Amino acid sequence: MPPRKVAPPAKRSAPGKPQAKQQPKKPAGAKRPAGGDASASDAPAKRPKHAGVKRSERYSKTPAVPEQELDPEVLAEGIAALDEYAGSSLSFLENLDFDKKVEQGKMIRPERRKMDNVVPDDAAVFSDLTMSELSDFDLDAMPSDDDIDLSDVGDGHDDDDGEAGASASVEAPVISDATLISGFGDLAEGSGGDDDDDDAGSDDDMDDDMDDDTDDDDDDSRAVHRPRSWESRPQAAQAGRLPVKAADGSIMVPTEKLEVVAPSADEPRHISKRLEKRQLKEREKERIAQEKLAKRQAEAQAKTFVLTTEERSKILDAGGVNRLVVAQRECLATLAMRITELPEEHIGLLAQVKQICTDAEPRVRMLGLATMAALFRDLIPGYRVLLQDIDPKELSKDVRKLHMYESTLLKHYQQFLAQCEAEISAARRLQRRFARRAGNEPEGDASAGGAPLTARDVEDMKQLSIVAFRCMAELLVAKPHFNFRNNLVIAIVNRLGTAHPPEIGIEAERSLLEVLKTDELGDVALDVTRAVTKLVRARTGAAGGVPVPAVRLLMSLRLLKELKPEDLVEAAKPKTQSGPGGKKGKKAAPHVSRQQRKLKKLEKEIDRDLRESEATYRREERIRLQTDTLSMVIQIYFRLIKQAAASGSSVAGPVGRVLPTVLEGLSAYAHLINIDFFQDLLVALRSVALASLPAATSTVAGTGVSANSTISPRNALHCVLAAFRLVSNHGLEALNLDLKDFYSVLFRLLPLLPFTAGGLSYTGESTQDDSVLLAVEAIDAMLHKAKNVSQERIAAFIKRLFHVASQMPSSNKSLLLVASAHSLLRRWPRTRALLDTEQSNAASAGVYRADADDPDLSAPFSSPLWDLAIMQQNFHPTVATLASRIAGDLPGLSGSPAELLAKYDATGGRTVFPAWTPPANHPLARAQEKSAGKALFVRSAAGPPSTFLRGIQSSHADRLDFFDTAEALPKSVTGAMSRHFIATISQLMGGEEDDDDDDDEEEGSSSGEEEEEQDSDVGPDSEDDDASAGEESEYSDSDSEEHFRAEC
Amino acid sequence: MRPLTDEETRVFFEKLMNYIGDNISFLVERPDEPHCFRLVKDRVYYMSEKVMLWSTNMARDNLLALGTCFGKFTKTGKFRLHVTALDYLAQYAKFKVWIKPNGEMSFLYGNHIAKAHVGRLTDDIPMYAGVVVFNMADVPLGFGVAAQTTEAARKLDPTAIMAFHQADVGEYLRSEDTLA
Repeated sequence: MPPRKVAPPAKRSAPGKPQAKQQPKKPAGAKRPAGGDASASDAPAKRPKHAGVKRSERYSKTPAVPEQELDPEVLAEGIAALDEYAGSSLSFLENLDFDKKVEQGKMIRPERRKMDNVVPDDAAVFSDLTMSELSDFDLDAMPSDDDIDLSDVGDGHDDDDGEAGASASVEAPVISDATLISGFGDLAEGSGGDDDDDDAGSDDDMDDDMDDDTDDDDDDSRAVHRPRSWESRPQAAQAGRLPVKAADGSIMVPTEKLEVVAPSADEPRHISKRLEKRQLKEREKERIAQEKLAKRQAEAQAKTFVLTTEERSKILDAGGVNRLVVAQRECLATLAMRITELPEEHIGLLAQVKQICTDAEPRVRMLGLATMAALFRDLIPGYRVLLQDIDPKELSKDVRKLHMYESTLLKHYQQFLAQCEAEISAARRLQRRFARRAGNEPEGDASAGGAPLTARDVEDMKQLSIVAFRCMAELLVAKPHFNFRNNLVIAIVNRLGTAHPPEIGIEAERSLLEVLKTDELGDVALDVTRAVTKLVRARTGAAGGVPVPAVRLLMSLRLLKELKPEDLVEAAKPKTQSGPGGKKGKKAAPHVSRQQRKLKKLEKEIDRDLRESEATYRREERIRLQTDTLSMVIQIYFRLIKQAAASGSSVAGPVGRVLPTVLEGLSAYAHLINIDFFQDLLVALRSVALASLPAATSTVAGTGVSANSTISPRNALHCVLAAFRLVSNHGLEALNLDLKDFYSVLFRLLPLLPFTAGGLSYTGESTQDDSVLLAVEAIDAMLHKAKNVSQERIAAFIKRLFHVASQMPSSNKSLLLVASAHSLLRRWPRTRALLDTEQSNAASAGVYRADADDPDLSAPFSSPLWDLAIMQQNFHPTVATLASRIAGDLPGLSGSPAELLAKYDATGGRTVFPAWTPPANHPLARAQEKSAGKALFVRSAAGPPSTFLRGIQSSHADRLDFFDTAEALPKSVTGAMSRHFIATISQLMGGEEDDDDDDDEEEGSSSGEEEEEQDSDVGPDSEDDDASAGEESEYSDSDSEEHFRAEC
Repeated sequence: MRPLTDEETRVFFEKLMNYIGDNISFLVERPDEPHCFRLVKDRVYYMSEKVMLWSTNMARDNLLALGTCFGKFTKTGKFRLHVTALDYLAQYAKFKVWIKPNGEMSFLYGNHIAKAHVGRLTDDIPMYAGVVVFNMADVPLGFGVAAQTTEAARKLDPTAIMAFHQADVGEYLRSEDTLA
């Protein structure tokens, strides 16, 4: 661009002139609210007059407004509109004022339609030139990006002028690129909606959009200012305010009047006229190419993909709602495709999607919202948009473009979320109204009149609300970093556990769990916890109570695993040090010279920058956030537990339903709880634990286990566990507390375990009960890990554990208790006196009291551990083995309680007893009946009969019956069968002389019984049996042959 | 030898309640053998009923002691527990204080218990409640009265008194003559 370098000095004065003339104009602009930038609000008003002027004003900061009077009426209108949106722009991002926006959107649409008809004419007639501004650019040495684009455009004009040979061809009705494009831009905007990110060529429009984007209700402003632009343009043309180009492409500054332009007439003098033809041609080509591109892009922008009202009603009439849904779906698909293929360019099309989202038909809206959500998922960048109040004109072009993209996206995102929220509450309202109406007029449905509200409508709205909620949840999960997260979190948290409809409640919990899982830094967790705090505060007194999922959610926070007690100390340190430590630091300061301090400061800054560039989450930052979250979590728990303690912890109480969850949480968070809260917490826990105990437990037999009891031992167990986790983690600062009451609570709870273990829960709930596991964990914390526990107490627990173990309905649980007792015996050698009959009797004072409520009072050493002898006879081999190992003082089982429980679980976690049903019509039983007393031989159908089989068939055919099995029976059964058969055969062979038919019958019947027993035993736990049975079955065909021979 | 009067029983049990609370019932209603309290020359003895019946054969002057002495009534009608009751108090104690080995001798010579000597204590002791003192190996050493609640004890300085001395097993040596 050599021509531009030869900048005529005369032009420099040009911008100054209008400035002088402009002065009276200023107040008009100044009158507008200062919230937005003044130039932004000026723009719509001025552009129509003379686009060039606006540009020049904006970039050279010399307001060059045409001399024509503005139509006062139009101006007033414009100002009013601008006032409105500049005012609202302040609160644009902060508040989600949904309804208003949606309404506005609706209101504006028809106006915009009108514009569609107008704008094309406008564009065609357009002869308004923008040369002045372009020249301004040249002179003012704009940023390079703009420079290039503008010069291109300018050059195009130069060519025209050059060919015309007139330096001041002002009157020529040239349609400049810029104006053309801006015309299309207008068209696009008019038809498409709010802010279209225009193509690179149309700076003019771009500016406009920038301005609009910073404001809120650009819809309004557009609707108002566009007609003005259209009206005022001819005026501008008449005024002859076209820019003037020199032959070399340098551009003259237009003056307000032709006379004033006069200095530009001098221009030719400064212009070197040696322009090569080749260059001209190139430019011409360029220009054409660019024009084409611009046209294409503008067309793309201009196209409306939305059905007009007429089209819509036509479709609706023709094919009904389903047709409409299909049609709108197509529209949505097209729009979505367009947007995703070039998001930066087509972001404006979101407005059209939004328009579909406001359709009257809920199903269409549903589709629209889903489309929007999917689009946002793809479009939302990986950072949070921080819209600063920067004057867009100060930005470079690329940045401006990005800025615009972001702000458009953000605005639509906000409106989208607002709509989702509105849909959900609307659905709820509708449902309530419907329910009320149904309740009021049960028979007069038809006469409801007014607004006929059908169940179908309600259902549609319900589905829509679910989809809307899911959209929100999805967006939170996918883009938790993006703006409006807090609003999203609050909206979702408030619906935790809701039953209107339940899908939303479930979805809320699911999505929040997922978000928390992926929350590296902990800022989302902080937001979630804050929302839960609010929820808990609001709902504690309410009828429904605090929703359980909300409290349960707190257990899923990552800080539970990530935050260590050391971190808390670390986080607290800087605060405490800043007090007295700060003074000390000051005293030491004089040694540091100023230069050193400077250096230090510099280093700090560099350090900070480096950290920022690393873009990893800093540990300190994470700890800070997590510490804040933690304190909130603890507060929630405290609030609830205190209320529970005050109200006596009954299930019917205000926090009765969440109490187990709270206690669970407390014991999970126990290691992170500050010691200062300790005493209060212990008091609360103790009162809850004592209240959770059955009223009268003076004797074990009398522990009233009634099905309708509302007290759950789990609550008490959780209390105990929480208390001991607290103590063990803090040690209470040198003071070693003996939590006697909690020991006695646990001691009293142990006899209840047999009644809670399994599907038949103590409370009558059919939930999977983990009381045994909890109890064992509590024993571990209270007796195994503790440093000082009285041996008597431990011995008392050991004895009670054995008692309870012998009562447990499932063997894996009794195994667990025995293993727990064993670990205690090994941990505290003095308790082994229990195993020594003589010693224990000698050492004791009094009589063993198995019924005592207090372990200290049960005098365990006065009786030996006789339970062990019984345990050694237990039917379960592992339990029996373990018991004998304990007696022999050998190491026992390894593995955590949970592992043990799972490993030896024979129930499949379902019920108390092994889950099997006796076969109603067992094939073997049938065969047994048929064989009528004969020995039953189970014959494998696979392969030819062995010699043994053939032999036996021939010799004992009258006494044998055959049961062919390959697939009918499991292997173990055939094994068992064959075992009995061998017994029968050997009897047949050995005592042939004294065998009778009667004998055979006995044999047959007994074997049949045992077969059934074997069959019933085939559970998941009897692996050993299985294995042995399998081995035996192997020699049912071959080995038994040998066996048979040996017998012979 | 006679059973306690109602007034005496009230005073005695109130004192005892300080240390063992409701566990008094364990003393009276024993599953093995019925036991009872008897007053002999201002002193209260705890014995099985069998012993009590046998003792009726002894002349009053000849009967020096029987069963376990729990303490004696003072001339003003108050009751004072003796260290001989320690076995039962320790067994049924409600509140306990364990003292570290370095504090044992100090206590056994009749001194109060400083906080520094406390190794462990029951949670939730009220002020002036009776506490039974153990060493860290759970051997009962004596009993006393809590000078502070457990909660307040946390903030005490190490030399502050945590429990007042009332009786200790050292008395078996120190006041061998007066104990009965």
